[in-house]
Amino acid sequence: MIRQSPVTDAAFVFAGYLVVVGGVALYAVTLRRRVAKAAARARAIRAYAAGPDDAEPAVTERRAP
Amino acid sequence: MMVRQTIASRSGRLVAAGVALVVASGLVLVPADASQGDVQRLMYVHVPAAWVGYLAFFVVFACSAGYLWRRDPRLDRLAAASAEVGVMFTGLAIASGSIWGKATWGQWWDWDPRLTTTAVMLLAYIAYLLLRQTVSEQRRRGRVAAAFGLIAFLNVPLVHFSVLWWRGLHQAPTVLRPGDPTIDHVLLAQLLASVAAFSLAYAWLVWQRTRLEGLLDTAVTRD
Repeated sequence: MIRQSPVTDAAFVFAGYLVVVGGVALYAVTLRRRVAKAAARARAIRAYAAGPDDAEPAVTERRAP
Repeated sequence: MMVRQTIASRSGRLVAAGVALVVASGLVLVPADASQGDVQRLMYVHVPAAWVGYLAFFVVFACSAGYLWRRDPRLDRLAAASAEVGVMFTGLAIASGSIWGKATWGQWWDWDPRLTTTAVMLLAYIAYLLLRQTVSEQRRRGRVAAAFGLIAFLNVPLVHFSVLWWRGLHQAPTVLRPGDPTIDHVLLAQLLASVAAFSLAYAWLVWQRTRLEGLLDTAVTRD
Protein backbone atom coordinates (compact mmCIF):
# COMPACT_ATOMS: atom_id res chain seq x y z
CA MET A 1 0.00 0.00 0.00
CA ILE A 2 1.24 3.47 -0.89
CA ARG A 3 1.57 5.97 1.98
CA GLN A 4 1.73 9.62 0.99
CA SER A 5 2.15 12.76 3.00
CA PRO A 6 -0.79 13.67 5.29
CA VAL A 7 -1.58 16.61 3.00
CA THR A 8 -1.88 14.33 -0.05
CA ASP A 9 -4.00 11.90 1.98
CA ALA A 10 -6.29 14.78 3.01
CA ALA A 11 -6.56 15.95 -0.62
CA PHE A 12 -7.67 12.47 -1.72
CA VAL A 13 -10.20 12.28 1.11
CA PHE A 14 -11.69 15.70 0.34
CA ALA A 15 -11.82 14.89 -3.38
CA GLY A 16 -13.70 11.65 -2.66
CA TYR A 17 -16.18 13.31 -0.30
CA LEU A 18 -16.69 16.17 -2.74
CA VAL A 19 -17.45 13.78 -5.59
CA VAL A 20 -19.97 11.69 -3.62
CA VAL A 21 -21.72 14.38 -1.57
CA GLY A 22 -21.60 16.88 -4.45
CA GLY A 23 -22.95 14.29 -6.86
CA VAL A 24 -25.88 13.35 -4.62
CA ALA A 25 -26.65 17.02 -3.87
CA LEU A 26 -26.55 17.95 -7.56
CA TYR A 27 -28.87 15.06 -8.44
CA ALA A 28 -31.28 15.97 -5.62
CA VAL A 29 -31.48 19.63 -6.67
CA THR A 30 -31.98 18.73 -10.33
CA LEU A 31 -34.65 16.19 -9.39
CA ARG A 32 -36.54 18.77 -7.28
CA ARG A 33 -36.56 21.15 -10.24
CA ARG A 34 -37.78 18.41 -12.60
CA VAL A 35 -40.57 17.46 -10.17
CA ALA A 36 -41.65 21.10 -9.75
CA LYS A 37 -41.69 21.60 -13.54
CA ALA A 38 -43.64 18.37 -14.16
CA ALA A 39 -46.13 19.24 -11.40
CA ALA A 40 -46.74 22.66 -12.98
CA ARG A 41 -47.31 21.01 -16.36
CA ALA A 42 -49.66 18.42 -14.88
CA ARG A 43 -51.66 21.25 -13.27
CA ALA A 44 -51.82 23.09 -16.60
CA ILE A 45 -53.02 19.93 -18.38
CA ARG A 46 -55.71 19.36 -15.73
CA ALA A 47 -56.84 22.97 -16.08
CA TYR A 48 -56.94 22.61 -19.88
CA ALA A 49 -58.88 19.33 -19.65
CA ALA A 50 -61.30 20.84 -17.12
CA GLY A 51 -62.39 23.42 -19.53
CA PRO A 52 -61.62 27.12 -19.63
CA ASP A 53 -61.29 27.92 -23.31
CA ASP A 54 -58.28 30.19 -22.90
CA ALA A 55 -56.10 27.56 -21.19
CA GLU A 56 -53.01 26.58 -23.16
CA PRO A 57 -52.16 22.87 -23.65
CA ALA A 58 -48.94 22.06 -21.80
CA VAL A 59 -45.80 20.83 -23.47
CA THR A 60 -44.71 17.62 -21.74
CA GLU A 61 -41.21 16.27 -21.23
CA ARG A 62 -42.36 12.84 -22.41
CA ARG A 63 -44.53 12.88 -25.54
CA ALA A 64 -47.22 10.35 -26.29
CA PRO A 65 -46.60 8.36 -29.49
CA MET B 1 -50.58 18.88 -3.34
CA MET B 2 -49.17 21.67 -1.16
CA VAL B 3 -49.08 19.36 1.88
CA ARG B 4 -47.12 16.77 -0.11
CA GLN B 5 -44.65 19.43 -1.26
CA THR B 6 -44.16 20.63 2.31
CA ILE B 7 -43.57 17.07 3.55
CA ALA B 8 -41.14 16.43 0.68
CA SER B 9 -39.28 19.64 1.40
CA ARG B 10 -39.03 19.08 5.18
CA SER B 11 -38.10 15.41 4.91
CA GLY B 12 -35.51 16.34 2.27
CA ARG B 13 -33.93 18.82 4.67
CA LEU B 14 -33.90 16.20 7.44
CA VAL B 15 -32.21 13.65 5.17
CA ALA B 16 -29.67 16.26 4.02
CA ALA B 17 -28.93 17.10 7.67
CA GLY B 18 -28.41 13.39 8.42
CA VAL B 19 -26.00 12.99 5.51
CA ALA B 20 -24.14 16.17 6.53
CA LEU B 21 -23.83 14.82 10.09
CA VAL B 22 -22.30 11.49 9.06
CA VAL B 23 -20.03 13.23 6.54
CA ALA B 24 -18.75 15.58 9.26
CA SER B 25 -18.20 12.77 11.75
CA GLY B 26 -16.51 10.63 9.08
CA LEU B 27 -14.15 13.47 8.25
CA VAL B 28 -13.39 14.76 11.73
CA LEU B 29 -14.66 12.75 14.70
CA VAL B 30 -13.77 9.14 13.92
CA PRO B 31 -10.12 8.19 14.45
CA ALA B 32 -7.95 7.41 11.43
CA ASP B 33 -7.30 3.79 10.48
CA ALA B 34 -4.11 2.27 11.94
CA SER B 35 -2.96 0.87 8.60
CA GLN B 36 -4.21 3.27 5.90
CA GLY B 37 -4.34 6.48 7.89
CA ASP B 38 -6.76 9.24 6.87
CA VAL B 39 -7.32 7.84 3.36
CA GLN B 40 -9.48 5.10 4.92
CA ARG B 41 -12.09 7.82 5.67
CA LEU B 42 -13.15 7.43 2.05
CA MET B 43 -14.79 4.17 3.17
CA TYR B 44 -17.59 6.18 4.85
CA VAL B 45 -18.83 7.48 1.49
CA HIS B 46 -17.57 4.79 -0.90
CA VAL B 47 -19.13 1.76 0.86
CA PRO B 48 -22.55 3.40 1.51
CA ALA B 49 -22.73 4.53 -2.15
CA ALA B 50 -21.96 0.97 -3.30
CA TRP B 51 -24.45 -0.48 -0.77
CA VAL B 52 -27.20 1.84 -1.98
CA GLY B 53 -26.41 0.71 -5.54
CA TYR B 54 -27.04 -2.91 -4.49
CA LEU B 55 -30.23 -1.90 -2.66
CA ALA B 56 -31.50 0.10 -5.64
CA PHE B 57 -30.92 -2.73 -8.08
CA PHE B 58 -32.58 -5.22 -5.73
CA VAL B 59 -35.62 -2.92 -5.68
CA VAL B 60 -35.56 -2.86 -9.52
CA PHE B 61 -35.46 -6.68 -9.48
CA ALA B 62 -38.33 -7.00 -6.97
CA CYS B 63 -40.49 -4.39 -8.73
CA SER B 64 -39.80 -5.96 -12.13
CA ALA B 65 -40.94 -9.37 -10.85
CA GLY B 66 -43.95 -7.70 -9.22
CA TYR B 67 -44.84 -5.83 -12.40
CA LEU B 68 -44.73 -8.98 -14.55
CA TRP B 69 -47.03 -10.65 -12.03
CA ARG B 70 -49.47 -7.84 -11.16
CA ARG B 71 -49.06 -5.38 -14.11
CA ASP B 72 -49.30 -2.50 -11.64
CA PRO B 73 -47.84 0.67 -13.27
CA ARG B 74 -46.75 1.95 -9.83
CA LEU B 75 -44.25 -0.94 -9.63
CA ASP B 76 -42.89 -0.02 -13.06
CA ARG B 77 -42.44 3.61 -11.97
CA LEU B 78 -40.71 2.51 -8.76
CA ALA B 79 -38.36 0.25 -10.75
CA ALA B 80 -37.49 3.10 -13.15
CA ALA B 81 -36.89 5.50 -10.26
CA SER B 82 -34.76 3.03 -8.35
CA ALA B 83 -32.69 2.20 -11.44
CA GLU B 84 -31.86 5.86 -12.06
CA VAL B 85 -30.92 6.52 -8.43
CA GLY B 86 -28.95 3.25 -8.36
CA VAL B 87 -26.99 4.23 -11.46
CA MET B 88 -26.17 7.56 -9.85
CA PHE B 89 -24.93 5.95 -6.59
CA THR B 90 -23.00 3.20 -8.41
CA GLY B 91 -21.29 5.83 -10.59
CA LEU B 92 -20.33 7.74 -7.43
CA ALA B 93 -19.09 4.51 -5.79
CA ILE B 94 -16.85 3.86 -8.81
CA ALA B 95 -15.58 7.46 -8.83
CA SER B 96 -14.81 7.51 -5.09
CA GLY B 97 -13.31 4.02 -5.33
CA SER B 98 -11.08 5.24 -8.12
CA ILE B 99 -9.81 8.09 -5.91
CA TRP B 100 -9.24 5.64 -3.05
CA GLY B 101 -7.49 3.26 -5.47
CA LYS B 102 -5.12 6.01 -6.64
CA ALA B 103 -4.27 6.82 -3.02
CA THR B 104 -3.66 3.21 -1.91
CA TRP B 105 -2.84 1.18 -5.04
CA GLY B 106 -1.21 3.97 -7.03
CA GLN B 107 -3.63 3.72 -9.95
CA TRP B 108 -7.05 5.10 -10.78
CA TRP B 109 -8.37 1.90 -12.37
CA ASP B 110 -7.51 -1.79 -12.60
CA TRP B 111 -9.31 -4.60 -14.39
CA ASP B 112 -9.78 -6.27 -11.03
CA PRO B 113 -12.80 -8.65 -10.79
CA ARG B 114 -14.72 -6.35 -8.38
CA LEU B 115 -14.10 -3.23 -10.45
CA THR B 116 -14.86 -4.96 -13.73
CA THR B 117 -18.11 -6.59 -12.56
CA THR B 118 -19.20 -3.26 -11.02
CA ALA B 119 -18.55 -1.47 -14.32
CA VAL B 120 -20.58 -4.16 -16.13
CA MET B 121 -23.39 -3.71 -13.58
CA LEU B 122 -23.39 0.05 -14.14
CA LEU B 123 -23.51 -0.39 -17.92
CA ALA B 124 -26.36 -2.91 -17.60
CA TYR B 125 -28.54 -0.44 -15.67
CA ILE B 126 -27.63 2.44 -18.00
CA ALA B 127 -28.84 0.12 -20.78
CA TYR B 128 -32.03 -0.48 -18.74
CA LEU B 129 -32.68 3.28 -18.59
CA LEU B 130 -31.93 3.69 -22.31
CA LEU B 131 -34.24 0.79 -23.12
CA ARG B 132 -37.05 2.56 -21.28
CA GLN B 133 -36.51 5.63 -23.45
CA THR B 134 -36.83 3.63 -26.67
CA VAL B 135 -40.33 2.23 -25.97
CA SER B 136 -43.04 4.88 -25.78
CA GLU B 137 -46.14 2.75 -25.14
CA GLN B 138 -46.44 2.44 -21.34
CA ARG B 139 -47.53 -1.20 -20.96
CA ARG B 140 -45.02 -2.50 -23.49
CA ARG B 141 -42.28 -0.39 -21.92
CA GLY B 142 -43.16 -1.87 -18.53
CA ARG B 143 -42.99 -5.46 -19.81
CA VAL B 144 -39.71 -5.04 -21.69
CA ALA B 145 -38.06 -3.10 -18.86
CA ALA B 146 -39.23 -5.63 -16.25
CA ALA B 147 -37.76 -8.54 -18.23
CA PHE B 148 -34.47 -6.63 -18.58
CA GLY B 149 -34.58 -5.68 -14.87
CA LEU B 150 -34.77 -9.35 -13.89
CA ILE B 151 -31.87 -10.36 -16.14
CA ALA B 152 -29.65 -7.40 -15.17
CA PHE B 153 -29.86 -8.34 -11.48
CA LEU B 154 -28.00 -11.63 -12.16
CA ASN B 155 -24.77 -9.60 -12.13
CA VAL B 156 -25.32 -8.10 -8.65
CA PRO B 157 -24.39 -11.21 -6.57
CA LEU B 158 -21.43 -11.66 -8.93
CA VAL B 159 -20.21 -8.16 -7.99
CA HIS B 160 -20.46 -8.89 -4.26
CA PHE B 161 -18.81 -12.32 -4.33
CA SER B 162 -16.19 -11.46 -6.99
CA VAL B 163 -13.69 -10.54 -4.23
CA LEU B 164 -14.11 -14.00 -2.70
CA TRP B 165 -14.20 -16.05 -5.89
CA TRP B 166 -11.29 -14.43 -7.74
CA ARG B 167 -7.99 -12.86 -6.74
CA GLY B 168 -7.69 -9.12 -7.31
CA LEU B 169 -6.59 -5.83 -5.79
CA HIS B 170 -9.89 -5.05 -4.10
CA GLN B 171 -10.11 -6.11 -0.47
CA ALA B 172 -12.51 -8.85 0.68
CA PRO B 173 -15.74 -7.86 2.51
CA THR B 174 -15.25 -6.65 6.09
CA VAL B 175 -18.90 -6.48 7.23
CA LEU B 176 -21.13 -8.63 4.97
CA ARG B 177 -19.03 -11.79 5.34
CA PRO B 178 -19.18 -15.12 7.17
CA GLY B 179 -18.11 -14.60 10.80
CA ASP B 180 -17.59 -11.36 12.74
CA PRO B 181 -16.79 -8.10 10.92
CA THR B 182 -13.02 -7.53 10.62
CA ILE B 183 -13.25 -3.85 11.56
CA ASP B 184 -12.87 -1.84 14.76
CA HIS B 185 -16.18 -1.17 16.56
CA VAL B 186 -15.91 2.63 16.36
CA LEU B 187 -15.19 2.54 12.63
CA LEU B 188 -17.99 0.00 12.18
CA ALA B 189 -20.46 2.27 14.02
CA GLN B 190 -19.50 5.18 11.75
CA LEU B 191 -19.82 2.99 8.67
CA LEU B 192 -23.28 1.74 9.70
CA ALA B 193 -24.41 5.32 10.45
CA SER B 194 -23.23 6.38 6.99
CA VAL B 195 -25.02 3.43 5.38
CA ALA B 196 -28.22 4.38 7.25
CA ALA B 197 -27.99 8.05 6.20
CA PHE B 198 -27.29 7.16 2.55
CA SER B 199 -30.15 4.63 2.58
CA LEU B 200 -32.51 7.37 3.79
CA ALA B 201 -31.20 9.65 1.04
CA TYR B 202 -31.89 6.84 -1.45
CA ALA B 203 -35.45 6.45 -0.13
CA TRP B 204 -36.12 10.19 -0.44
CA LEU B 205 -34.65 10.40 -3.95
CA VAL B 206 -36.63 7.37 -5.12
CA TRP B 207 -39.81 8.87 -3.63
CA GLN B 208 -39.26 12.09 -5.59
CA ARG B 209 -38.21 10.27 -8.77
CA THR B 210 -41.27 7.99 -8.59
CA ARG B 211 -43.44 11.07 -8.20
CA LEU B 212 -41.81 12.58 -11.29
CA GLU B 213 -42.42 9.37 -13.25
CA GLY B 214 -46.08 9.46 -12.23
CA LEU B 215 -46.44 13.11 -13.26
CA LEU B 216 -44.84 12.41 -16.66
CA ASP B 217 -47.11 9.40 -17.25
CA THR B 218 -50.18 11.45 -16.26
CA ALA B 219 -49.14 14.19 -18.66
CA VAL B 220 -48.75 11.71 -21.52
CA THR B 221 -52.08 9.97 -20.97
CA ARG B 222 -53.94 13.31 -20.78
CA ASP B 223 -51.95 15.04 -23.53
